[in-house]
Amino acid sequence: MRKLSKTNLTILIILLSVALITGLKYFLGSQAGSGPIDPSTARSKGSPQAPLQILEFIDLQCPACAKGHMVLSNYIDYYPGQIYVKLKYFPFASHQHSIRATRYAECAARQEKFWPFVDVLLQEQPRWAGLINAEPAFAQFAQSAALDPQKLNACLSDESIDKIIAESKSEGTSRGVQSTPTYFINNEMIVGWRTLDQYLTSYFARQTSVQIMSTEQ
Amino acid sequence: MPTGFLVSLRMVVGLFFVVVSAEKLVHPYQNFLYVVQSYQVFPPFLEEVIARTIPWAEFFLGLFLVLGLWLGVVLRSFIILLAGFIIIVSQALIRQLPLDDCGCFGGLIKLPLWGTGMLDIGLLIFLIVLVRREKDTAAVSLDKLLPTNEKDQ
Repeated sequence: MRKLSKTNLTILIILLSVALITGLKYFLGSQAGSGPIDPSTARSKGSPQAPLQILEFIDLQCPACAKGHMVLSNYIDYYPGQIYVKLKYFPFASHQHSIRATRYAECAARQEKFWPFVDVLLQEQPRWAGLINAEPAFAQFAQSAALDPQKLNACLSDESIDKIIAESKSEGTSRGVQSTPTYFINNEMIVGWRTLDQYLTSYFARQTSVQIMSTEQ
Repeated sequence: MPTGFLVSLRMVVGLFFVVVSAEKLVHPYQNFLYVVQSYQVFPPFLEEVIARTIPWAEFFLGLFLVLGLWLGVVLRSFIILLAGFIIIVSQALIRQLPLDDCGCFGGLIKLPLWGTGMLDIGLLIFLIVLVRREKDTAAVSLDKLLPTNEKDQ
């Protein structure tokens, strides 16, 4: 019986390793964009029939998320009816005010003022992210979004919000989210605002080319 | 340095790379792509290539280091790889890129940028030691047990 040569063993190890890693990847279910979206923990904006369906996982204290939010908002304004966004929370423990900001955002949602509040929150993020106590800033944003103070205070201590945040983050983790912002655009995973911008630029440029060609015909 | 220590060091370094790279490989590659993009060094096409290939390179090099297979090539490849990592991290530090935000290195290891640089330098030093004592490093290895080609059997 011939001895196994080093080259043959190397090839065998490579093939087995690839098979193992690939199998592990599918077993752990780390397929980007897979599975139905839990609607109870999403905040949405736009037309549900829009051709671009974007699921966004963000941390409200994440600078790149604030930038991504601005980029996305610009595209939504420039291409009305083309984009439907569902936002989910993915706060990091390393961000001191992230959970609290998320609680405020969720409470704003209960008064149907989620997007106006989050817009201000993310726009003013450089102002509050470095503070030791960001509570006065959040209260000010709540006031500018015209939130009812009594309902807000009652909501901020509501323990069900913890469950929403946990479920939202768990869903993100199961989809393979590790960093924020992470987007799933028609189930395709995009990480970071730069890649989002490139994707949307490319998408709408193609759409414009198709329209021009159709018009010429 | 005793041979046993060098062999153990070789295996520990190899195992480190196997574990870290496997974590990247079982998760969507887009996460590592984001990390590569964050360093703002490469053009988009190359970022994509790097994000898809470097974890596999780390994995196999790490595995072969543990097993003691093709040690000469593997040790030198790792030195080149780590030198590249150190250059990239250094330029990010000099340019003060915001790389500590948002769990950018989400996974098993969370380090500030300077910590990543220190870790890479430490690993490079270990590998240089292993190369300088290559014969002892290969004392317990598949390289010693197996012939390179059929005529050696």
